[in-house]
Amino acid sequence: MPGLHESHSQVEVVADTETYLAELSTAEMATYVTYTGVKKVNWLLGRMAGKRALQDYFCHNSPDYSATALYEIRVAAASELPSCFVNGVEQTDLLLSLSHTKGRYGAAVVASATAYMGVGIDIEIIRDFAPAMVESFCTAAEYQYWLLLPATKQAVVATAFWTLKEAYMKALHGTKYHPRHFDSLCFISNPTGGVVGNIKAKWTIIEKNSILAVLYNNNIS
Amino acid sequence: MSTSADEINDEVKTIIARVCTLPKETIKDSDLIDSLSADSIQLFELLLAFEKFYEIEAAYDDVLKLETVGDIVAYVSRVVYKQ
Repeated sequence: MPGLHESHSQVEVVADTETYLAELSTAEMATYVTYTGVKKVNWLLGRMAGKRALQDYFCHNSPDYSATALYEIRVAAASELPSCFVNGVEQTDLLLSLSHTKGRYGAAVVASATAYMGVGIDIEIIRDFAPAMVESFCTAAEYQYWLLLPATKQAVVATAFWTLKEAYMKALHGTKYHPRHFDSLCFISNPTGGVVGNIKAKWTIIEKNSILAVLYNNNIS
Repeated sequence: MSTSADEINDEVKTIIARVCTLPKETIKDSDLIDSLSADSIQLFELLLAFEKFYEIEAAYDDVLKLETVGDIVAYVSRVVYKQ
């Protein structure tokens, strides 16, 4: 539905998690305590980013918006898509994608299911890649582009390729495509937002150490 | 000479331990693959390591269905060793 605001959010790990924990529902808290270590931190970051994105979505799109409502994310199984709930009521007209990385950041995107077939978000720490690794997940055109880059730009661009591909796979609901079959090159030169066919995507560098990519699949006729 | 189930299990855990920099003895069949890798990039590195070691090109849609270490062992047994 044209005109509906899309929301994405990003949260950072905090030393004092009490603020975050206070926003969890009883069911979410029961899940949280079953995790340990980085997985526990990642889970919390993903949930908080999801809640922030949901709040932002309703703030922009609903006259009934309430900051004190319970914004909740439930995932029935690891292989299933996350569902959104507001005060216990499932929001079946919403799409949600979550990501987190190494206990540092959480990110989420929420959009209307009447406007998009899928949304995907991914956040990754910028890292060096061996050429063989880049070749294994990139298209031939992406790989040739990457080879010709100055060495100082290769880590950022390779991480951006991966992040866009991961967001793409999420937007296609766990597509069976191999990452090398999605050409993200067209989005690399237009990080603030490019549209190619049915795909709209943008990416950004966060805190000089991570890349966040958001992708919308609007293949709805 | 056939490869035993224990040998396949050991091969798989050796590869996971190397790529994910984990002590092999801590890896259990019931461990979720997602919980062993630091991120999705490392997960993909794991796939490449298996492809290289076993000289196969894994069907990506089959790989996405694997959830635990035991699932990988079963996949390797079936696809590589035809067991």
